[in-house]
Amino acid sequence: MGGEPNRGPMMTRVCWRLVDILSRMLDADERQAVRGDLAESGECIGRALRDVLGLIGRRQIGLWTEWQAWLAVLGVACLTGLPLSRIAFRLNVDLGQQLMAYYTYGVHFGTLLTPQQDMAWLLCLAIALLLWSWTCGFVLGSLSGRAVWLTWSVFYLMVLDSALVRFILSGNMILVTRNLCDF
Amino acid sequence: MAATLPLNPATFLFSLSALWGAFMGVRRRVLPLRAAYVLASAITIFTILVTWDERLV
Repeated sequence: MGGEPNRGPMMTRVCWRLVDILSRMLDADERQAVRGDLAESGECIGRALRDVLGLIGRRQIGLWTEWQAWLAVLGVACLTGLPLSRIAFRLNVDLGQQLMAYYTYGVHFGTLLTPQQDMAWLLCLAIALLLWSWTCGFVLGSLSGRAVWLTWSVFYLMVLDSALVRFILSGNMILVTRNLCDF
Repeated sequence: MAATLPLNPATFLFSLSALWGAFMGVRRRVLPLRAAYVLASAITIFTILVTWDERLV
């Protein structure tokens, strides 16, 4: 009564749950085998966690001995990511221009097209971006399998940042950091 | 923050569909022939539509 609560069983449950979640990174049959081994061996949680992490690490490294994962990261994530990044950037800029012009001045931003044509073009570009992204994601998942978390992250960062980096490096865009002392 | 999170409409659209595609790719591995035809046709049509305008090329 009034003493420190015993967190031992709670922490153990959380750690076993963590081992269970981590083991999902393994193939289904291997996952079952690992769970069975852990249950039978009666290992302490620290050792079980270390064993599962070691096995996952070895399996992840093993995936990179196949050419498919390399094709996914170099061919899809790096090569396809570059034009996709430019297109996403373009869609952002065009959509931003139109929205800003409409909300600030209540007019259509002049692009030598009618507002309807501009809207149709932006819609087509958004759908095209969606289709291209889905297809690239599918190919990434299909080629890299359980290494998809890494190849997808490379692809994501490539699309998100490569156009921006290219504009900054070419001097077309300058990043300005605000100094709080100026205000 | 903006360099890692999809904070604008285009990158949000991209990340959602790419994530969904990757999930499907891991689960199914191969696209059925009929779905591949539909996807290829849709991609061709929309690519032609968006590259028709000189802004993107």
